[in-house]
Amino acid sequence: MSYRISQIIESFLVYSFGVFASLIVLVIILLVLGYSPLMSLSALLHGGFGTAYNISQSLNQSAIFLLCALAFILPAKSRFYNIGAEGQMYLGALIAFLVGSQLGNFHPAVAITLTALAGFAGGMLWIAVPVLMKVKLQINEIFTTMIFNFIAINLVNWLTAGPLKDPYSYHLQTPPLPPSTWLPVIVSSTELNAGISLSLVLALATYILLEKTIIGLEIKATGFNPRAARALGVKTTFNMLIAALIGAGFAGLAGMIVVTTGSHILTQNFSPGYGYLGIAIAALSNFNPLGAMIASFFYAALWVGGMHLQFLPGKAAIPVQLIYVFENLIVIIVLVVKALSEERRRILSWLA
Amino acid sequence: MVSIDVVISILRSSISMTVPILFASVGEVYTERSGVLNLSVEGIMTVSAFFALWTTFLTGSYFNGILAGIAIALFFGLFFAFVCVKITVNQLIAGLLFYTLGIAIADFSYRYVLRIAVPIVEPLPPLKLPILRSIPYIGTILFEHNVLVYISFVIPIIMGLILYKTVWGLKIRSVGENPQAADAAGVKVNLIRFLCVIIGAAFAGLGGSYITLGHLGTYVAGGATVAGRGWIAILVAILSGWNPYRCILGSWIFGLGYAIAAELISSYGGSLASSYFFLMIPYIFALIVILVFRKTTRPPAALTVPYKRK
Repeated sequence: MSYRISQIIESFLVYSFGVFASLIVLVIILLVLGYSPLMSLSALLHGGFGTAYNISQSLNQSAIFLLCALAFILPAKSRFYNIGAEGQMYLGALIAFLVGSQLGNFHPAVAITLTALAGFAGGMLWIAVPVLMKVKLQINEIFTTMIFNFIAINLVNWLTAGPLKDPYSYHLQTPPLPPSTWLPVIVSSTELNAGISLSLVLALATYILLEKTIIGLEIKATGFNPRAARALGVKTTFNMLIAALIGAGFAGLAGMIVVTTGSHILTQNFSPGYGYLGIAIAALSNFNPLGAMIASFFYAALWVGGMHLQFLPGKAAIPVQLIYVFENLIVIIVLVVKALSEERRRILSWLA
Repeated sequence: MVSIDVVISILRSSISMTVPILFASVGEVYTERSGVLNLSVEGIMTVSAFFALWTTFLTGSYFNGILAGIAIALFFGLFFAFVCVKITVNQLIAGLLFYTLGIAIADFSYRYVLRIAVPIVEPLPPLKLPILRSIPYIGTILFEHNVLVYISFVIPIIMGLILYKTVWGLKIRSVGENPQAADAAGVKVNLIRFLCVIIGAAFAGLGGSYITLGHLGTYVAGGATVAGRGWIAILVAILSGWNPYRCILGSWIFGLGYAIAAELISSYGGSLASSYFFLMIPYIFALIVILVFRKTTRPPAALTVPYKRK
């Protein structure tokens, strides 16, 4: 028990130190570029947490981040490295839009369920080829899922500029979805929508699947030692297939949430890399779905706060991409600190 | 019916499209031969593409731009090597993080300088080789390019000779195959790996600089500048069996995919929508190439395995 507590304290120290060190790097960057760190950081905090409305936006964003993180975590447990969450999210958004736009006359409960299923299916569709190439031909999934990202983005670019374009809009976007498919707002006078509860339930379900069920154990066995698992009668191919398809479905669902909230449209480049950020969040939370809940809220608040930095007056306005840099740096520094602390423990145990 | 002019035009542009992939893949061969998988090639290329463009825009010198592109890539490679070779963080995860970090840094820098000016340069002028350029067809296809193109076709041969015919190359290969044995023989394993990661990054930087200075003349945010060439370069390194010579052919095949898309856009891409449609071609092409050439040789035995002295 005391070992476990000391472990928790140690990982708390690792994370605090990692975040603190990246904060120092951020302050240095701000100073070098001639921004006021105090003003920028307070705007960042206010933007992310300042008002109930801002918190609701952060929570909405965290739903998308969390689903993208799960899309990496679950397949990774079976040693399938799905870096295609970005593309699967675009496909989920596309299929959800195509199905949802036909559901104007349905009851919202039916319309939303069908749209969500369509989004899930869109994500699964986009991983089908990479996962089949992996299990049938042993082709490395990193490259195939990545290539499918590029195809998905250009596919959505094409459709929103051509066949699906809203003829009455100057922008490259579709007309809005019918209101019956819109995800409901669950706290009045904020923007908080049902996406967050959906994503939290799914993160919990993923945790239970992995930790409390036989199939979860088999998925982990597949990733941990495929040869031994197969010798014990575990269907490794099947497990990888399941883990990859469900994971990609989560990313598709994130796309569905994007098109059924906000302006309720499918637009070009709606994601500035949510799928890749999901990988960063997964790594930050040590591939634990429960940890990913916390990490994705933290990252979403930074993200939403970062949006506010763009609207600071005049010369003080900071491009939001600085937050993307910061969020990647945090994970890299945390991983370095974690590796160093493990090294130290190894040396200590060797001495003792 | 496709006319001969179209074929020549596609082949000519395929040579130019090969260059960034070729530079980066030869670099990645070195990195992976030493036992390190660097997945951040695309990110490094994007950072270098931007800084090469910006430096040339400010100083008016292509040479300075290329130097800046390589310098920032070296810095990036050093950081990656520190994290993965010295600290031994998981190379796959670190590679993905550095990939997004690179794109984020490049996009941020671009937005930051946009307040001052829009960086646009004239692409490097072609250096038409005398005599050779007058060979019918072949002259047009091969010998009317800018200087970086010619360099890119010499580099793999030099790097191949170093890898296979010198003691340095032997050390690199031994470190990637059996680091324990190499260490016992007195080879400084992690020093070699550091150097190979940095060499790989420098070549990725050269490839990235080529995209903006030799080809586009501008920077497009959101990762659309490099547009997957970094990932394809890693693929080429793998599909070529970690052989610098074979990288030439491998890169050219993928370059052809990009060239066909570019030709279709300029001939039939009347609307924005149809040009997006054609932009899917290089990636579908890449999937087909993976399927056809998937049987490769065995990877370096110690690839992605960090080395620590016991």
